[in-house]
Amino acid sequence: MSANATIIEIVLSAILINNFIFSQFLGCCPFLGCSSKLDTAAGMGLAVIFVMGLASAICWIVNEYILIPLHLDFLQTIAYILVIAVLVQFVEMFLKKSVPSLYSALGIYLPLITTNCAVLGVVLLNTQYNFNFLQSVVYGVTGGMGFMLAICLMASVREKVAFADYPESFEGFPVALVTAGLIALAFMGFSGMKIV
Amino acid sequence: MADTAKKSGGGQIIKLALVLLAVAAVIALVLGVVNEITKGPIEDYLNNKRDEAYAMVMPGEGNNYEELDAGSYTNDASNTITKLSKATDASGNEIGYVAETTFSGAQGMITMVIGLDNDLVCTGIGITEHSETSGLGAKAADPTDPFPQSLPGNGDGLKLSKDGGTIAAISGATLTSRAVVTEIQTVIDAVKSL
Amino acid sequence: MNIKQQFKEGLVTNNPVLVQLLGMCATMAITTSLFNGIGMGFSVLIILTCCNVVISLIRKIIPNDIRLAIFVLVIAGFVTIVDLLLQAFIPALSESLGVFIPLIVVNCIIIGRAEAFCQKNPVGASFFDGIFQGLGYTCVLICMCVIREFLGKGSFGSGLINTTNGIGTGSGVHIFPAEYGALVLTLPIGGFITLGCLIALMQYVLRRSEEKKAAKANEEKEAANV
Repeated sequence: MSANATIIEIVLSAILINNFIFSQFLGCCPFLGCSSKLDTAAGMGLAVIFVMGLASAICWIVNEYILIPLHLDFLQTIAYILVIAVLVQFVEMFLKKSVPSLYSALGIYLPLITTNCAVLGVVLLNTQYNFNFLQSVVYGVTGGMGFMLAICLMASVREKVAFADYPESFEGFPVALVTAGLIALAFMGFSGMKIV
Repeated sequence: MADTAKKSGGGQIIKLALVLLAVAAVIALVLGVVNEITKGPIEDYLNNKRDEAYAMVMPGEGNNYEELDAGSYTNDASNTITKLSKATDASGNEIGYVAETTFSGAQGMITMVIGLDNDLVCTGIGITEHSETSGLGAKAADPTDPFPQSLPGNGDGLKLSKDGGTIAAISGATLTSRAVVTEIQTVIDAVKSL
Repeated sequence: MNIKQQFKEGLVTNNPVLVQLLGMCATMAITTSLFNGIGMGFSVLIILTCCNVVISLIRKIIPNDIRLAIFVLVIAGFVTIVDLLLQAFIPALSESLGVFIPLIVVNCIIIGRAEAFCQKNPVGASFFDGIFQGLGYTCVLICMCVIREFLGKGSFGSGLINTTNGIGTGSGVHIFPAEYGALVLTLPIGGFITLGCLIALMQYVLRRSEEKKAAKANEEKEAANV
């Protein structure tokens, strides 16, 4: 995508055509770790949407008004990861005070959003594609929605696969990976989709 | 560990923040040095890449390229043409046009350089960036593949054989082939509109 | 922690990808050619070793409360250095790996080792830990690349052998014609399934060796009782 992508192109690309998990492989670790049950998956998905949207917005502002004017482009990676780490810290504190049930449900997975490839990935891609502010936020939020779609689909399938008969060596991650691969094959059907 | 409990909360946070800032400053300094060292080679590489792409589509040594103002030609709906230049050879004769384009292929954006001669016949294409599937759409970026080799010599109205023309698409990569051919037509239309 | 033990752990019994199940994003995404695999593997090895050494050096002076933030800063610093050096001196690799080089910052292997090992161990052990875990990671990447490329396109050494235009180009040695390959293995689904099978294989191997050890211990117990 380039800077002149329309909003609808970004939305469809992030959710279906270039889904963050099934096409771009960003965010696989929590995807595989959190997707055993549908409600945990949904909670994780919502948290990621929120963090990705906010991170896109703040990192775009930092890049546009601090890094570029001062010719500090090479500090992008460091600046972005710091912003994300601080953001997740604040989200954690906010959830602890206002929605403690969600906070305890997410448990260890909330601080792990900092190391989620999808969050840093979407911010780096926004910079690479030269998106403006609105495009960046839309890409962040819809990228998160794509992640949530992927993780919920995966959780629904895994709840059934848990009762299936597969070789003992495939217990745990291997069977999850093969399942994810088959869903990725299905998502390939969206490639090349264009809005005319 | 025992003496940190004695310090007041505010002082402790300030101390932590200062340590963090100090570490960040040291790292930023080191990165600044590395950045200075690597800036030159990176710029040289990018310039070389562009020159190589231009040389691939417009043969001849010592060509000059004069960029045309974006308002002087009609671009297509998605503004795929990022730069259109008139090409003159080393002795000053006009030999055609070169366009830098960015358009969407099957899997993502393709960045391509297209060359046209004075009769608006394609002289060649050079794909510099793409994310097409290797073995399928990526064949269009391989100069030894029959598809990009079949494009020079085609002029206005070029089409894939599937769409009624004469160019054979890459098998299994119709979308990519069609996107490339459509883009060449876009550049031809743009030059016609000058 | 002796070196032989660390070597065995890094490569087999505590392999970062196949046993600890860390750093999977990059493993599946970039293993489409041997050039990518070796390039990424060595980049991670260098970054991991440097970070391990630095964090082990400063482990006694950093305040406990902000240690994760400092780890992240140090890792991001080294990743940016390697990123800039690759862009300048091996640009083909930088373009091939794309956004996955800066993403090494959030590669769980590096933060994981920093937290689990370097905080408590001296510089020497941390250095070797970095090298061996990095080697284990590189070996997995090379396995995945070779399998996906061979079964998917029938070639070997894409980007490194038979280069047409400098390193990173060319499609390697063709062992059988590409038309007979399962092209699907070079696509995302191939990444998922190949990694799944490799992890299953590792789990099988480890389980068998555990069973053998348990059987041997039982035999010795019975021999001692007799």
